[in-house]
Amino acid sequence: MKILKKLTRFAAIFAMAICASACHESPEFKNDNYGNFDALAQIISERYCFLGEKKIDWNRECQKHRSRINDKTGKVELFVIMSDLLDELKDGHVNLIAPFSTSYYRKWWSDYPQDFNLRTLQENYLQFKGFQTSGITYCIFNEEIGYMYYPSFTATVSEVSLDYIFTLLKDTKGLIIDIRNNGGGELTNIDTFVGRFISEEITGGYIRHKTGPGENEFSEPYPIHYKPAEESHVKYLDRPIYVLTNRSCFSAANAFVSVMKELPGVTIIGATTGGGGGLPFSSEIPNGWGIRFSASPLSDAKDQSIENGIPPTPGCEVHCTAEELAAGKDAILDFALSRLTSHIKTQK
Amino acid sequence: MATAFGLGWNLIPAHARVTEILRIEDGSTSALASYISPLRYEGTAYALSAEWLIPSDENGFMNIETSGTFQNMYNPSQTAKTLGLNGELIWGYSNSKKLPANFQISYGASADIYAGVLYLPRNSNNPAAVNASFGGALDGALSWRTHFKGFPILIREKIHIPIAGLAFAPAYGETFYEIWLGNTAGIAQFVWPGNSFRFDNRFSAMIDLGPVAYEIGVHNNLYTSWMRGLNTQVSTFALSLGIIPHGLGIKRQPKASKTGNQSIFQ
Repeated sequence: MKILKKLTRFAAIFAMAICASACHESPEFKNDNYGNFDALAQIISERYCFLGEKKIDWNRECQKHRSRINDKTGKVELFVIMSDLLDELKDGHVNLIAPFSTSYYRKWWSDYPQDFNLRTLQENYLQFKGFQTSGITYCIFNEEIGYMYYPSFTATVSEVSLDYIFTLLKDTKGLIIDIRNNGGGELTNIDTFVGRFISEEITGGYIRHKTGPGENEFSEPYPIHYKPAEESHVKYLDRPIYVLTNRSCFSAANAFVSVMKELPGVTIIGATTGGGGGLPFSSEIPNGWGIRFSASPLSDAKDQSIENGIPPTPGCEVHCTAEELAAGKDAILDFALSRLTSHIKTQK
Repeated sequence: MATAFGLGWNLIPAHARVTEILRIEDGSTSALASYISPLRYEGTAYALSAEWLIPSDENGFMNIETSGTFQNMYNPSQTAKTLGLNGELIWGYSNSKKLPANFQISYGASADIYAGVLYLPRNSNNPAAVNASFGGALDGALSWRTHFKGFPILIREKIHIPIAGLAFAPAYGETFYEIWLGNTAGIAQFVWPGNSFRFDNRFSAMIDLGPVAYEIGVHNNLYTSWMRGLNTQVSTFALSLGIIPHGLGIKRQPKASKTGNQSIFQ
């Protein structure tokens, strides 16, 4: 009987212990100025993926900005202090979202020339014409150069649209894909595009994710494969492709350039892209303000980080001055048209 | 009766009386899913559930249960809403034993399929915490028959605890995009009460009017898991109202007993 009692007690303690191990305490912060600041600091410390790569001393930055707050700090002032803290990450994927404002780090593009003017393109090159589908404006220059302008990866590109586009462009000798000012969107659109330019599967890059709160706790890189479009779809192969970029190419647009630059016959023309090589995650702090931040780093086919942007092909860095653009001249597009025309002539 | 459910199992004797309980529930709920937010959301839960108890031999019965729960919750500052939806299907077998003083105990095991999602629309690449599992569970119930103003009453306490299985579990910072790309390493985790503990408790009182019976009770469901660095805690506490369309079979019905139309509560 004693043994039975002991066994029962042991079983009860064991059962409680294993059940308790599934119940994990979560850190809780007060909904006051310090609590909200500390919650934000911890979320970034544990989940932001570029602290190590950017060599950011996060604790030091937190101490610096935390000293600016006190119990009487108002909501707007607290928002500004927290936004300043987040700006230390120098990342366009980082936002603090309050009901009255959303913080946004702009210097990744505002410190650089724009190199693009939509009005100049539309008025002087497209003559306010061109076909449009799936958010893509396309036309043929000089009867032999295909041109596509794709300003946002948020517009879903359909296979049907691409079939129409590449059917119209099938007799062109080269293609210009202009993604200047493309701030990103859906990564899945990259698959749809790239599939038209390859005849066999490629590894276009890698993705990692954080496996824990430590600064260097990452998963093994997982390859991102791109497959050719199905045989029933129209492809654009064995011809030169020029991708036009500026600093405002960000996130999915940046990732698109990182994949395209590895393809044979592809040239990147313009300026180094704006980066944005981390897939954003969302979280929130006790006062209900949202936070968005890079959490899952992407890399190129050589497993090099793309967070700081993709430079143009050597010898193809081109900038447009504001004066030129105002005068109706797009130096990057002119460079691409000139180079492609020369290339086509040498092929004849 | 059994074939009316399309079950067709030989386990079910021809004379078996299937006890069917249909319920609606309304109560409070809270959820913490660190994959989508470090904050605990609180709000209201609504549920529909059904339970079938089918005598299969002298001392045992088969139980089939299904439920669907909808949760509508807000963060502490009421600035964001999380919606929850989960469903469960249980199929099990229990032995029952009559005890003195009109008590009856039952114990058994079941197969359990559970799928739940917590959806926080304002999130970007981590909008949903998905919990899905398949495994085995333990079931137990204690019931007591009594009377109230001449009507038979059944008081019942019932618990259901999944003990082992496989569960869907994304990693700490893994996006659904990466899973979509094909990185499914570790996505199926072996679960046991040490890393995923779920406890379903229902306490109810049923009054048998003969051709129909009614149930009122409270339903408490706790789920907590700690897997791959992610913490999930969901609880609901609801008032439950149920109807048993053909009654419990414990109101004295001489004709029924002569035909051997046995209820598991008789």
